[in-house]
Amino acid sequence: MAYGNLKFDTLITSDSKNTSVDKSIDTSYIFNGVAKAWIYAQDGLGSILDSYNVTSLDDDGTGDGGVNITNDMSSVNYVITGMTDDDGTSDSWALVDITNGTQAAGSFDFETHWGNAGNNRTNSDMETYLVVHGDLA
Amino acid sequence: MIKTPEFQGTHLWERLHWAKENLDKVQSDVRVVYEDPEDMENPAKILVPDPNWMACALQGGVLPPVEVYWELAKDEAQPDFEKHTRGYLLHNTKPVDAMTEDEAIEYLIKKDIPQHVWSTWNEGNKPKMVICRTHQLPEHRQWRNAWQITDDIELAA
Repeated sequence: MAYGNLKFDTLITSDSKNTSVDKSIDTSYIFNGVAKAWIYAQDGLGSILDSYNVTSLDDDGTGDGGVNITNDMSSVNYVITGMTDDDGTSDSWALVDITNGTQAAGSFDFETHWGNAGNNRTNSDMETYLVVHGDLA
Repeated sequence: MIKTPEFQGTHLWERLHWAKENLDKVQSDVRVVYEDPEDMENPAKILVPDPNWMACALQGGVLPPVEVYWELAKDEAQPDFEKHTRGYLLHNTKPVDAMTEDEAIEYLIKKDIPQHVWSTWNEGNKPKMVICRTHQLPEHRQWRNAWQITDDIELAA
């Protein structure tokens, strides 16, 4: 059985497990703070394993991709956080970054790469995890 | 098949919540390979459809018409653009009906591939864009940065 909707602007807890002093939060804080889009992309960007608010993924080359968003952000001023799989390595780092100048309200590009003490940054295909926070259009 | 609620006027992001809860992901094996004439130094790009988005497209009644994205893109292209003021187009425009997979890919091309690529895809010495299946892509990615659409590609009718 499906539940109905509960509409409210403020959440209040008695905090009975801890201080027993009421604490409240405006639900708009919750809405504004949650992730607006996320994606888990396969190594090599061959497919999207799971996602939210994404239309498609661009495979632009080795360690080079892009994400297209379904419900655009309100501007280009939003935040992207990301992680990559280190493939079990213990002597190098694996990173994802946003490709300079590509952030638009409905898309952004990223690059995945590795490096270590003996090697400069080298673009490489990796499993990638990206999350978008900010305001929606 | 579950019936889509009447979503016109509902925030698109909320509709995606409904879809995530109620629709099974659809992993399409269709890929769109394209080359951007304004970016010829880079290899061919490949567009990968999102499985949750594809579920919405096939279901119908969830996604806005692709023209809405073009309107927003026009706004964003203005030199004084700071913030979208016509986001309501995403939420208030009548959602599109259920699409076939082919129609969904066409929608995706028109949304996520630059217009100067798809509107002239078959002009010039060779096609700039090819729709294929995953098994038609190279098996290994060793030379991924050298991938191009072949000059003598045979197109299906």
